[in-house]
Amino acid sequence: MQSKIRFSSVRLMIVLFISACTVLMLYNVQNIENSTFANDIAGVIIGLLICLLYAVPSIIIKLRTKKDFISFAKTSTPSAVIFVSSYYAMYFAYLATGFLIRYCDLFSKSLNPDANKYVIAALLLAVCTYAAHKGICALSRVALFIFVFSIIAFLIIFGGNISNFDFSSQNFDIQIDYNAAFKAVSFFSSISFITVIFAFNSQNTNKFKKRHIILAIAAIFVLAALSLVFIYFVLSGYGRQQAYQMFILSKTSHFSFASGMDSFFLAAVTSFIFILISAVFTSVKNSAYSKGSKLVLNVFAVIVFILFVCAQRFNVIEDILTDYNILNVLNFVSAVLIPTCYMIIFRRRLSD
Amino acid sequence: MNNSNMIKINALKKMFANSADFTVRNIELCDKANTSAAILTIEGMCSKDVVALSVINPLLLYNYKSKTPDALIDEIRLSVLSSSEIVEFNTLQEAITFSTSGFVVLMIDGAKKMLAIGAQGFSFRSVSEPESEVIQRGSREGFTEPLRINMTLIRRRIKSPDLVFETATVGYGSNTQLMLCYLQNCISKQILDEVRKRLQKCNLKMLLASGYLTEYLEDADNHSLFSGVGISERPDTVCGKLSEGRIAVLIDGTPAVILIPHLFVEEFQSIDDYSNRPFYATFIRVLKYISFLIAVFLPGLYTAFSQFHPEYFPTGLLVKTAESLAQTPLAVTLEVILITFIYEVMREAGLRIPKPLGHAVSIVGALVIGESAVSAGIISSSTLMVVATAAICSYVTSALYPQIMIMRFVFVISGGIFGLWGIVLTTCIFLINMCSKTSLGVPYMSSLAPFSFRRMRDVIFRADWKSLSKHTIKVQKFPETEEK
Amino acid sequence: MIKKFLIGLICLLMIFLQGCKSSKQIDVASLAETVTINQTSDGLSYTFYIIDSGNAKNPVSIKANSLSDAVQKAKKSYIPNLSMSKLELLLINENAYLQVMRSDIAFVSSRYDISPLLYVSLCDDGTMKFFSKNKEGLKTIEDHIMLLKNKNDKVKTNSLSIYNSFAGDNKREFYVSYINSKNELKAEPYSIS
Repeated sequence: MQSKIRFSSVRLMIVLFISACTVLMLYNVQNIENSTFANDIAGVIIGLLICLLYAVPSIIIKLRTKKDFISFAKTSTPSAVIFVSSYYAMYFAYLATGFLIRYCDLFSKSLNPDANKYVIAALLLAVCTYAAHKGICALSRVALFIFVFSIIAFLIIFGGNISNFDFSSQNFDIQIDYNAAFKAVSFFSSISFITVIFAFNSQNTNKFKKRHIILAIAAIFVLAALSLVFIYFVLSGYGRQQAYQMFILSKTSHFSFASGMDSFFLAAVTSFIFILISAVFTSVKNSAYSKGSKLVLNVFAVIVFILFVCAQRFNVIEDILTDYNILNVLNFVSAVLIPTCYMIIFRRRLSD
Repeated sequence: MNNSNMIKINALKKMFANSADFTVRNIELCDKANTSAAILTIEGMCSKDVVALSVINPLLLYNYKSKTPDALIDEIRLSVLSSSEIVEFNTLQEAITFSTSGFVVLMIDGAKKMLAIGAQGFSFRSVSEPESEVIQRGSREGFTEPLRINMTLIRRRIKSPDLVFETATVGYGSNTQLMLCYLQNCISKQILDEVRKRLQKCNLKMLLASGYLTEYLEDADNHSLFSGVGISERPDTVCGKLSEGRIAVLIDGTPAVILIPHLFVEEFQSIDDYSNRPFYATFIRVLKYISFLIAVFLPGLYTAFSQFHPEYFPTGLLVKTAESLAQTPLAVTLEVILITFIYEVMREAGLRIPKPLGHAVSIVGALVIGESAVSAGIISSSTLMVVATAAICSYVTSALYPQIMIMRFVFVISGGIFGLWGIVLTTCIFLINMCSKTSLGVPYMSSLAPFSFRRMRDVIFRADWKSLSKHTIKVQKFPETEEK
Repeated sequence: MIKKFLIGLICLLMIFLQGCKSSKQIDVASLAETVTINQTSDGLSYTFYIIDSGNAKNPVSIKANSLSDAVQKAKKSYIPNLSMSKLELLLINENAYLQVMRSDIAFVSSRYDISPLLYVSLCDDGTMKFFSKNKEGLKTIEDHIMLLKNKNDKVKTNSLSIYNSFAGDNKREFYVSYINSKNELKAEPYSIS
């Protein structure tokens, strides 16, 4: 196990990119009433700006101290960091459980309604815990393979839908519905959790440059915009009839006689959620001290599973865990507020 | 220690428990020496002609000038014996080591020192082409069991003083001799020291094959299907690896040479690739990668699609597959596992069976499985086709056969229980396992992950030699190599 | 050792919990390839053509008011392992389309397992008879539909485009394919308003 090896920051960006792709795969237009293409594109643009803004504190800490935020916090406040770590443990638990619930929801609504959600969640968590034990370096190597597969999957999904574009049934009037626009912004800005993952895992990266993370975030939102183009101009009203439009897009993808491209969607979304939850678990492991990190990780996985079970039993818990507004508030606190406080209080360490 | 021959010989006889092959020949050295000597051999290890003509005869005919036993030893070593290899030693333990290695041990009564005279004459297999690594072009020589011959095979190909052979002994029961072989201008000192340390920690009683040692040479925190230690029986392959900064471990008594560090991409490279034209070598490499993927994934995917996603089959294939599966009593998963198991039994039987009976096995196998089982409706023809295709593909990279077999089983079970989702998750598990593995600190998946665009010239593609020879590869320089 | 034992136990538990109940095995699944909708004297008749090995078609006809109703009845009484994931063609008789086309297309669009590229076509009685007797009927009709689509881009041939045309705000008329069997089998555009 190579926990102290320095690896290229480009690989960490790939991990973040794939984690963000999970959000795109889980896009559900049914959650946004009266959504239009203009509203969603506005959501993408504002989400991009928010995400870039949230990345600023972590970038500054990384460039000035060559450490990630959590390492900086541990060296700055060695005794008080436990409170910070506890807050972030809660945040990561919220994040992991939320996406696990959404993934299992996707699974049951679009892929296999008869599948046992608890088994899916438990196995996924077990595999992600195993991956997190191996560290972010090993995970980023796996992300390389998944990234190549994701390129193939997106090329197939988008390429196979080029012949399905239908502009005749489109209404091109630009009408801004503020409620729908807010929900779109809320959805796309939730991607900013990747800046928190960056803040916890960039310690061992080398050759980091600002443009890496900016390009990664830009690529995510370009992909988001492209997905919206296909969802609105290929699926149009049909897309609203079911949840998870990217899945429908994979079903409509075809190349002459070949079909069954939705298998790529299933493979892609499963590998994306694996990377996302493993990256979250790795962040939890990095926030704990190295001596007890394995135990902390195992306990954390059990807690996430218990939260998942509670969410399946009680709708109110599920609603709280899958609320994008709460996630955005937590993202702000985790990515901006706490790191900025550290930067202001320990600004001398930054300039050392 | 008392330097009397009688005492030493009795001690040795006791150590050898009066073994029947431990022979002692007493002779008298005349003239000024006027003392007795003893020649100790292990029967069958030494050439009797060499012993008689090159050792005993000169000893008996020489006119000695020295008077003391120790001076006599020096005189014999320098002036009497014509053997090219003579070693002086003092202890009985060394006497045992030399005699069991085919040396003649000479003791002079009263002398502290003893002599070991090279006169090996045991029978061994001649140099021939290794059956496990067959190639189209290139050398037909392969390693054999004696260590010295293997050393010669390497030395003949690398005529450089940088080639170093370092002796080691492993196995407190067998005292098996090893040679660490490396190029001193290529090797990393850290890697070399680490290998020495691991060999010292080896607490084997008997070292009879190279496989015994591989687990000691692997990185301790790795539990993986794949091995970070490579094996080869070809001298040309070993020489190629040495030039990349690797260490070869030659073991006396086995033709399989250990190469460390060993990477995943090397399983898809062969010496043939460098003899063929680049475009053909590239094609063969790509074929190997595709065959590996087919061998591992095809039965699992077939099971998953048949059980959970029949809509992914094209309609024509769907009809045929459903028709053939409907006629059999077993579920698809069990059927695939059963056919794979029967195939493994036949493969193992074919490996162990005496050659005259080999034809019978192939006929029985073809008739029993290929014809009768399908006609009887026990197994379906489509499943048989899938398993057979995967089996053939697995022989393209035969070095990875054990891993392919295990992975295939795991994918069939996960696909049969959880469908495509299970296969994806299992792939993620294997990937994380492989990507976290190291071989002496070098990432096992080097060149693929961590990705190196430059090294793709010799991974998936095979660039021409003008391009390859511009940059020398040294395995210790691979990115993310851990300093041990 | 204990860790390996625990992992093994958890795996076994997963296997038992998950079971194979969510599987739809290829040899027992009844994959519907075509559904035809006909107006009879008793009402609407939905006929499911199940994929079978080559020779015989084995259609199952069910009286129902809508496709969703027909699927429910089929699963309950006639075809318990019915799967719509391989559905390729929805053939609607011209005397039935006014009643059911919109609602059935809406039903198809809400099903995750039915492909959005499902061919939807109207036809006359002669085509229905041809289809029921001819084992290559599906391929023939699909070829005609594709020919028509290549000739006339404005014709909507799949459930995705037809649903979007129904749901469009402009309420313009649009064209679907109509298989005419008067002289020989031929696909023509048919106006839907």
